Amino acid sequence: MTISSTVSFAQATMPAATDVASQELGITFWFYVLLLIAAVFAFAVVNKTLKVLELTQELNGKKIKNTYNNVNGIFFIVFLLLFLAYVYDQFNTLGRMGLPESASEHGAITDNLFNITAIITGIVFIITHILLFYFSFKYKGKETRKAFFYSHNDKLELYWTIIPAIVLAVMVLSGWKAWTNITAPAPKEALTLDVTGKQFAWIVRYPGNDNALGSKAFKLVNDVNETGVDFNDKNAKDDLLVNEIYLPVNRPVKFNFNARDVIHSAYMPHFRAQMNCVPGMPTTFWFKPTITTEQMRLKTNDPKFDYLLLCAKVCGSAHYNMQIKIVVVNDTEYATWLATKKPFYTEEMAKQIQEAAASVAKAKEEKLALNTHE
Amino acid sequence: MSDHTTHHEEHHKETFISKYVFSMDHKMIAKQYLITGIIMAVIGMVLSILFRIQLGWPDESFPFLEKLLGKWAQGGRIDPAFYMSMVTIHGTIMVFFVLTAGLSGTFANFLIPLQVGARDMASPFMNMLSYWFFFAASIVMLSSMFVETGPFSGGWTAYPPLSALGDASPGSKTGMDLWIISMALFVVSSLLGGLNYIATILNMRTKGMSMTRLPLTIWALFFTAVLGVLSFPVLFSGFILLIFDRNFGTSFYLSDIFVNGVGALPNEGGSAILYQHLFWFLGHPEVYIILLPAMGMVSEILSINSRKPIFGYMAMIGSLFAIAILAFLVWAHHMFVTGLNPFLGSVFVLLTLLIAVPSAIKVFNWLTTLWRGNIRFTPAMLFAIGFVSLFISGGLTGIWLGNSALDIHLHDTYFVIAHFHIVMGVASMFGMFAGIYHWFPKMYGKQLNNTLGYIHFWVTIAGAYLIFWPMHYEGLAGMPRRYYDFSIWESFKQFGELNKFISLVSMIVFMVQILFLFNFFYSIFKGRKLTNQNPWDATTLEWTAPINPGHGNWVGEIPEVHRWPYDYGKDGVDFIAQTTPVGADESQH
Repeated sequence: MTISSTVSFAQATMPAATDVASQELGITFWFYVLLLIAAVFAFAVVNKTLKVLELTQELNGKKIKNTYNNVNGIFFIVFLLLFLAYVYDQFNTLGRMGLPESASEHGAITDNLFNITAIITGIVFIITHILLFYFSFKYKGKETRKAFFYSHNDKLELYWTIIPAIVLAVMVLSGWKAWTNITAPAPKEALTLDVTGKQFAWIVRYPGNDNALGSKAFKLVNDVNETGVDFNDKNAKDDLLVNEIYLPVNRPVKFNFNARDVIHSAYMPHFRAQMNCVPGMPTTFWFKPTITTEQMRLKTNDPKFDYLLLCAKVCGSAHYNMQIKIVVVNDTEYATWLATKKPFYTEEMAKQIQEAAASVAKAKEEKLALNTHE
Repeated sequence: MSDHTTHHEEHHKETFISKYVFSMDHKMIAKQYLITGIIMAVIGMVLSILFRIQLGWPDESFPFLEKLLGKWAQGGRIDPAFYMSMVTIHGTIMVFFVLTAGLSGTFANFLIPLQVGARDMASPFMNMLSYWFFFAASIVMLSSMFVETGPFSGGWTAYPPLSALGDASPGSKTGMDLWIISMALFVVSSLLGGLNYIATILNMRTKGMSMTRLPLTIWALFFTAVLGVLSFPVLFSGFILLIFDRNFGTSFYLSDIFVNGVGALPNEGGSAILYQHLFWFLGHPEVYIILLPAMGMVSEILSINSRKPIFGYMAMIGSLFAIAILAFLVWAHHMFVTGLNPFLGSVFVLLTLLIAVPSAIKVFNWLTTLWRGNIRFTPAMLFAIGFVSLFISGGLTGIWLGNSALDIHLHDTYFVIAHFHIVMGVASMFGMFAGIYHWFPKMYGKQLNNTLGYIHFWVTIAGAYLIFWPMHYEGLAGMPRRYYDFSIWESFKQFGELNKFISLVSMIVFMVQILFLFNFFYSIFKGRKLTNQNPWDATTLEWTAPINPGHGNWVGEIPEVHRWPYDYGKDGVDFIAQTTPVGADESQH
């Protein structure tokens, strides 16, 4: 797919332009402008009223109170309460839409680390915010109050150096354990796939029946042989190209990543997997899927649910639509699917490749010839 | 006193040009930085509103967009390539032009001579040059938005090969050439500025102003300048190699590339990842170049308005120092999923999470500074407290991202957007606002309107959290950054309403910033005139200078310093200026 075709595809999926929509935005926008003006006006009225009050108090010979200080101090305690309520509400509503259930073996380790981190940072967040806003409220300035001269306390400062250090050591260690687990070399029995990113699609090659991928070389890349597979390699003869990635459940799968033009990033959120695809530098990531697509559809109660591999590294204008579906199935379904696939190397293809290579060589010659003329 | 004034004026026959344009007075240069920074900030903000419209209403068409953007929004819908450009230019402008130059440029220039007790910078000429390089950089960056093929569109980090190959994306053609020229000018500007700041702080302190009597703003600006001087050249070298790859056919970052419609490129043996190392070797210290000045100003403002000394002055300096050192040792945490050696990844996790220790010290010290204070809620104080809140919230999510195992899932998602906007974007902006509200009287001899300041603060902090808090959840759900349209994704459709809400809140926050700008510019001309030389009852030197100091800052002798800058509430006295000699019966702090 070229740039233009992807973009036009994306735009074709959108409804046609309507003026109604912009009118709607206009209304909401001006509604908020009016709301803001009203708020500013209300604030100004309160402001003037307070000033008048202060002046009358002054006229009556009473001591001037610092009204603004009190108002802002009270605002801080109100803000604290609203903020904590908001955080709790978001946790309840968006929390369910956030992290999807993990569908890979190491995903459980990642999620465990997520939980530990969320709890620790959550506690620190709540305590520090209560202190920050409560202090702001409690110690709001008064004529009668004297600030307490307190310049340092070495012991106290030592405590809050050591305690965070210990807590962080826990996080570093549990993170290190998870990370070494995830980045360990793939098991030998893993299914190996070759995934190449290009603007703006993924090219996925299966090893075929021999479970061995044919080698590839960048010099062999042309418009027909998109990843430069070396067809002189015996292993390449039965390799498959697919439009959807089928994975057998509970069998480790190892991805060999590469990119053809710019950096892409293969991101599979449900499997807690991500690896950059870099031109000229092979990278790899492996995991073991544990839940089939069918099971996940039941679990999420969403008959349209699909696992995805999407591009997470900005790669051009259609970056937002560079995806490929992943289907996790059981062993028999996988075998049936595999049987329907024919190797992409055929006699005809060999011919096409030769033609393409010849035309590239010719173009090069012409270019060279042109250079010598100059 | 009048003798000195006339003597002073004789030496400086100032024309309009020498006073307002090619000025060598650090105060005027600071104002130039501030105003340019504000203009750039408005442009950056407008860009963000435009792409928030696309994210909030991806299926709808807005004729006004076509009027505004012409061919980039045909039929009232933003073009995907131009969407990417807006994201890129928004990031570049905000990170470099607003929060680096606008923040450091303004306050380092303004505060360093005034707070250390110097007549001007070590080299006023270099200082002027620094601003004009920045000005040129801004002009080139803005002009890149008007080229035929569009501005650069590969993200503010400009990773090659995308940024190196004109054939890979239209934005990588002339737009990228201008982007890189602008950035090169910018690096020159920040080096000229940084060297000047360091030289002034080390050499030009007034009598009695030992390093341990410096206000924390100066310490923070000092470390900021050191970070910039040591890391910007590395970025510069990275850019030079990129220019070579783009224009002279070298292969530093390029290898094995086949571009759609062009074919195979001859480049071999380069490493695209090398650029990322060079970029983030600046890019991470850059985060602290943005944050440290805000931290310094917030420390100062919290102490002044709590009428208490900053708690743990030495620990504050120590933690700034620790952060500055660690800033150089954590760059690869932006690269956990590039295929980095896993062991190296673990080392960077350790070093990254270590930064949380000095950060925790700072937070607890700020909290203790508030404790048992007598807090005066000026708008500056509100923004300083808001800064602490944002720094905590954003800093804590840094612990998530800094852990490589979690970063696999969170890398390049909305979680990252939420994290760095809160901790570095909005927080530093709050630091900048606090600084403006606090030092405006010194800058212009006028006062800002407090009521507008209060409205500004409360709407902005609520808006900032309403915008960025939900993005954490979007990121956890796997929503990647820099996507033009989520409505085509089955799994992200659920966030449609939320995205609309975020866009609306961002518009409200935008309008409140306009309110602030009104307050700012109105007050410069029509604000209440300052009658008190020291409106905040502060101890530091800048408030001993006249209300509208001339070039040279103090008439007569530069005052001598006798104590640290935080004698607030000592022995029952509200404040004791740094210039007051230590009394015989005074207690030790």
